[in-house]
Amino acid sequence: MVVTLVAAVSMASAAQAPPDFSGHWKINQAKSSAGATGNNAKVSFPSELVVAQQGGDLRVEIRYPRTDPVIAIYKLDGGEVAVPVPGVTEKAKAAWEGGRLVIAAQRVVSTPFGNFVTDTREVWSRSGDVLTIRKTQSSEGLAETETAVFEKN
Amino acid sequence: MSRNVIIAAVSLGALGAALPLEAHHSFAAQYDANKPITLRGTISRMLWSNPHGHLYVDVKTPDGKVVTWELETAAPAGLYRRGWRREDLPVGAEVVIRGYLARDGTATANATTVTLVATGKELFAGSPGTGAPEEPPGETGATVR
Repeated sequence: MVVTLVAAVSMASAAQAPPDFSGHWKINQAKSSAGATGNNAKVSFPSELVVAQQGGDLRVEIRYPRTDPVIAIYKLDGGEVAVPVPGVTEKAKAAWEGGRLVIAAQRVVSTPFGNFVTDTREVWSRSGDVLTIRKTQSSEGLAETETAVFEKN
Repeated sequence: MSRNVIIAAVSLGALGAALPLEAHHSFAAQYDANKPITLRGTISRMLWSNPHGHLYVDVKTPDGKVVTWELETAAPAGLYRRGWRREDLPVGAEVVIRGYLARDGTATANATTVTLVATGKELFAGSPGTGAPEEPPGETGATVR
C-alpha cells in the first residue's frame, strides 16, 4: 500500500511538473495561424527562439530576421523584469498556469507626440518537439490573437 | 548630336536630380520594428501613389494638440487586391491604425492594418511589419528588416 501511495504521489508530481522549454526553436510558417507570419501579419512573432530554462529563470534569445537579437531573462515566479529592447521600455512577468507558461509584457514607445503602449500576453505550451505560442496583442481598445508554431531545430 | 539635343539632355538630367523622387526602400532603413504603435484619429487625406500609398491621419496628443501622421502603405495595386477602395476612406472617418514608428523622429509610421471604427472593417496595409520568417519579395513595396 505504501509503495502504491508513493508511486501515485510520484506520478502526480510528474504530471504537474512544468515543461522544459529549453532548446533552439524555429517558426513553422505553414503550421502557424494566417495572421502570425507573412505580409499580412497582425501579431509579430520571432523567426527563432533560443531558450535556456534553469532554476527559476527562463533565458530567451529572441531573433527576428536581419536584426540584432534581444535577450530576455524572465523570472518564473511572476517577478517583474525589464526586457532590453532597444529604444523602448518593456517590462514583463512570467508565471506558470498549470502546464503552460504565461508571459505578460507591456511595451512603451515614447515619442514627441505622446507615448504608445502595447500589451502582450503569450501563452507557451510544449508537446514533444513542438512549442506553441498563442499571443494576444492589445492597444487602443483593439486586441488580436494569433498562434505561432515552433519546431525544435 | 546637335547642340539643342545636348542642352535638352542636360536640362532633363538636372530636373531629374532636383525632383524629390520617392525611393523604394527597405523597411529596416526607415522604420523601427521594435516600436509598434497604434494610432486613433481621423482621415485627412489618402494619397494613392507609387511605390507606396500614404494615408494622413489627424491624431490628438495627450495635451489636446492635433498632429497629422503620415502612414505608409503598399502600392495602390496591392491595396486594391487587399480590398481597399477609395470610398472606404472618406476624409473625417475615424480609424485605428497599427504600425511601426519611423526612425527619423517624425510623425511617420509604416501601417500594417487600418480599422474603420464606424464599421469595424479591417484593411491590411500590405506592409511587411515584423512577420517571420522572411517575407517573399514583391507586392509589399518594402522588405522586412
